Amino acid sequence: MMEQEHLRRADFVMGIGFVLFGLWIVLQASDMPKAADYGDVSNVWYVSPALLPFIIGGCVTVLGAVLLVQAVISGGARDVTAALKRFRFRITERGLRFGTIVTALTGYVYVLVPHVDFFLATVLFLAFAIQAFSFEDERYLRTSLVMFSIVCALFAGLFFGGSAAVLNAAFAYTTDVIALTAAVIVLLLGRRAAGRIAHGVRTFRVAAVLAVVVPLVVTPLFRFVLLVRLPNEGGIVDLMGLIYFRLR
Amino acid sequence: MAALRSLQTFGLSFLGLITDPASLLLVFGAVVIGIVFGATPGLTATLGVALLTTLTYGMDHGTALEALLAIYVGGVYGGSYASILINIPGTPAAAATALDGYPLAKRGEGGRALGLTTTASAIGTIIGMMFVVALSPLISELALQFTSFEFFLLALFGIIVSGTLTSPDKVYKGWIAGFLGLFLAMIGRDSLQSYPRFTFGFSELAGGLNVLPVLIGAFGIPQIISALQTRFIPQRATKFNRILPELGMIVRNIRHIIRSALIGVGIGAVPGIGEDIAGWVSYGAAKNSSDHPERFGNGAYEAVIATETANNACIGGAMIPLLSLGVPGSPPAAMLLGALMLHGIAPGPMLRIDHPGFIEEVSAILLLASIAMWVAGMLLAKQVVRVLRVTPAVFMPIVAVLSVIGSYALGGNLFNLYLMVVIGMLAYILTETGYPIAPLVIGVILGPMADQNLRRALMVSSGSLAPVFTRPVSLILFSVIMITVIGQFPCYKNALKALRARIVRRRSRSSV
Repeated sequence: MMEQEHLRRADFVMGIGFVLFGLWIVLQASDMPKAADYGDVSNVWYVSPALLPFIIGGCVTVLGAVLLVQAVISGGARDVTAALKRFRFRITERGLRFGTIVTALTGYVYVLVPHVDFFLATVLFLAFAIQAFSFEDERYLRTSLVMFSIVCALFAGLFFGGSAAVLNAAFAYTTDVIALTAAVIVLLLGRRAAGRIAHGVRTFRVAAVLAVVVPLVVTPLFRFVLLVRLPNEGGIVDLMGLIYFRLR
Repeated sequence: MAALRSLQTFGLSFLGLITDPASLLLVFGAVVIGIVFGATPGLTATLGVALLTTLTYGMDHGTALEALLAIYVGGVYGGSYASILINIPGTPAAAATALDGYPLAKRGEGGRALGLTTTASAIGTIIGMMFVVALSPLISELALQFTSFEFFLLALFGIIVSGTLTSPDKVYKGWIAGFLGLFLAMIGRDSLQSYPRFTFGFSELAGGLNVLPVLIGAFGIPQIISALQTRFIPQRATKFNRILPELGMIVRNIRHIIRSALIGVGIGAVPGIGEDIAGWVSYGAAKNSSDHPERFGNGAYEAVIATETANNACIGGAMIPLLSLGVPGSPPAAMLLGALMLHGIAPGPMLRIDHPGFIEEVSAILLLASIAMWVAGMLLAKQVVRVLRVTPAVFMPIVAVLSVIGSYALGGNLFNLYLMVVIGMLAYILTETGYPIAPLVIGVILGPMADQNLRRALMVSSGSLAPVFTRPVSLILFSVIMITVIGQFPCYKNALKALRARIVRRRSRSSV
């Protein structure tokens, strides 16, 4: 949780947000059927689907207003204006770490998992995330963040632009090969950085082993034991399937 | 007669468990996983239950329940390892244990402290379990008389009380979190008229938000972000020789144990209030009633006994409203509710009719899990302590992968995955700005109950609110809600203060 001074500042901003959000809920609820007919059902106000949303919207608005007033009284509004005046864009280490986690998570969930072979997507994510945070080195954190962002942007371009489908139709598993190459590059980047960091080589080994072993356990467990069809099954999952059904 | 039948079912369930090697192995294995989860700073019992829920998807409900309850019991107990040995609470539930556990470890009594917490936790779980057997059927019976007004007020009571007691900053922030949870529960087609609310044309939202991805996101993502956001400085665990059962010490502190267990059960039974609050309240009560309160904070045995008994007794307490009313008593119980729903079991007053013997089965599993926890605690402590050396940078990305695949696996739907991240980010922002997550989760879970019952109740009474005041349970619930809300107003607090001052003045005048 934030410090008290920052909290009052956040309360001011959140208070405005909650008042607006509460009013929006009330507005949305006012569009719902109230004392009229909907789907051959005669409505009275107390059976309306809008009843609880109205109450929720009203309560959020009132509580948001209380929060806002309290924030203004305790100097939150003044602090926000002062902070805006002396605002200077500066990335702290905490901010950088936060940005890295958010980039890693959103890249993994919204770009890699839906489009890349699940095993490779997970190797890429783990190789990046474990190394980035285990090395405890700001320079490496920045480099790897840029690298991972480029990889995600490349995949996003390929998949949302439609080129991935064309490439995969021409040469099977092309995107998997690109993902594998990216994972190897991320690991090589880590190996290079490991040399100049205390306990770096050992940390790199742990990261590299975990980045491969964890998906190697999780993928077959979900695919062949729990029978969950994975979001994207590319070359590696297909290969695992071949081995599994041959052995069975 | 009913009590004897209940006892017989409980005995048979327990016998069935201990004579089945697969069940024994599963419970012991899950308890050990739970201990490892609890012992690792940054991982909690809630997250353990959340991640394991996915793996129980293909199991029958009995097996799933054994695994989930065992991990819950192990997780709550496991938090004491990190508290005692490195002064960092493994789970919020063990935060109070660190105050006296760590000074004990520094004095070279780490083994003794762990022995005390292991035994106290086992006793706490067993006492909590006894209350589950004794009270759940009675409350279920009573709840069968409830009408829609009572159920609506019960849902509202859960959200308001949980918001009031779990808020780390202003109380109304807890209420806002609760109403946000209620709003999330409104998304989708309403159950009475099938009208699409807040779906914005997305077909994925028509069925409403899937509870499990919401819970995984709300509990998992903020923990992942917080753990990785700051540099981790590895702590050297205090050395200890062997864990001593310390039964003599336990007998000498029996009054602390009974009081703490009662506190744990009581707090657990209040919707949404978790093991952490039980630990703190019990610590305070033990200090106030101690003959040597000055020893608290410097390594008092009563302190670690009190906190660990209470947080484990809280498990049983949290199961009581969950099983009898369908209202989760703590965040891990909320997760458990999601898992039960996944297995087609709807906890609540009808549970004893739809699944006879279920409450006794749960109690038998809790008893076996507490025994397994004691044995595992005594035998595996030295091995478990090794996890304290592992940094969050290594295991948190793995937790992220498990959360992702876990959210996706429940229904094989990518939308759940996207939802999990959005809810997780929202939960992180709320946590950082001083809003508790428990009321949000309680709101999501109790939202459908509140919505259906409010409208049904008004339909039956033709729009009249009179039954709220004429039905005794409704009136009690309504009064508690009103007192809780009004009690937070500054004018009420000032009036109360003035009244107290006047009484004191009058008393002092009359004594003169």
